[in-house]
Amino acid sequence: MIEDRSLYLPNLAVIDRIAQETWDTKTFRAVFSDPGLRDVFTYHPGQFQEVSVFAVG
Amino acid sequence: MNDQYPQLILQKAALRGWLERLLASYRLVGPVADTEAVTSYRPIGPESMLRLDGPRPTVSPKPYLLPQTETLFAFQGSGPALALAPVTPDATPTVVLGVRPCDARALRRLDDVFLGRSEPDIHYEGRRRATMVVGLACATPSWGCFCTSVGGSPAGTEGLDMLLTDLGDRYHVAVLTPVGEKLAAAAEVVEATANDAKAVRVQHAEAAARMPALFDLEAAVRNVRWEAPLWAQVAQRCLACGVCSYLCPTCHCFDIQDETTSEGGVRFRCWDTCQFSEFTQMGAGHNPRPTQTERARQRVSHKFKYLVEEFGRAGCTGCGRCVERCPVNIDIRAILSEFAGEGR
Repeated sequence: MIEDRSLYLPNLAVIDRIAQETWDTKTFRAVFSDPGLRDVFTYHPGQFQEVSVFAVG
Repeated sequence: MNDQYPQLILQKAALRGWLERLLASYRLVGPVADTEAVTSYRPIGPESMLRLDGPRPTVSPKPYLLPQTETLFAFQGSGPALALAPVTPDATPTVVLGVRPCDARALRRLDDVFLGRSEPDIHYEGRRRATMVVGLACATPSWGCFCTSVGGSPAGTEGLDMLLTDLGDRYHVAVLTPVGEKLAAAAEVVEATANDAKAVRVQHAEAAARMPALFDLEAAVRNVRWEAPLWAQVAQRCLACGVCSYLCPTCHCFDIQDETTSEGGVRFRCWDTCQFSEFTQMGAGHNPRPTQTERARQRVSHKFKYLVEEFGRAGCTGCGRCVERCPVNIDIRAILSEFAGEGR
């Protein structure tokens, strides 16, 4: 993390695949645009993420 | 009063000269009358109608630290070609004049939220580090004021670099920090006499005596609770207009949205309030605070329970703006008094 980076600046990712799991549930597979981040990104089980689509919500 | 720094006297006739010298190096912001009934903090020049008399301004200086709307970053293009452009936080050195002790304490509460967590908010931080705060002791507390009930004082110094006390034809200047010392160096001042110091003590004591504490803060904090029937009673009257939050010097919640053009857009934040039904409305339709009862509970509990648990300090400095401006006379002092009186 860059020291003076705004915490509101998101990491960009592209939606790679959308799977319709049930009638009201989809799984989105997103791939980080930054290959470096792809290698080091980790998460905990059940971790909460804030995901947004520009200009949509 | 801190004896480490000098106690000075600034003649009112010398105020303009001081402001002119400060303007050479800093942006000055001070209370200005927008209308006869509304006073707010605005950038000022030596000629502007700085209003240092009267009760505390209608609007606090909060917008200088947390603007009503603020761009967080810009974006260009779309799809995989989309690129982000960070925004450099504004760090114009700014002296805010005539800040009342309640509002200066409120800046410290904002510091808790924006700087006191694991990752600082650099947008707030940039402005905060560049802000110098010149206070003005409250000689005439307004009818809704209750700073003394929440640990403050009309002459409190928390969050200030310098405290002015109006002594008629002159200001007593209590320098409180090295920053205050630097600001005082630009003023034509003399050392305060023992008589000046006495006049200051008398005025501070008289102002505080006009505002005896209305409730026991510790008891109120202890008794504020989730299932209290009071929330529904407050909610019945509440119009959900949000004026309490928008005028509050410590309320800091915001919404984040995107504004777009054909080439890209900006992501910005804007003030929001827990008093609005959409504040917690989720994309899929669920609202965890479905009625005004939960929202009434949230505002008081956030200030007097959650922030106390997180930072050890209540998120209210008793400025009384919410009390005075509520169109249906909801009075947070009465709510806290009721909780404080329980179990006696």
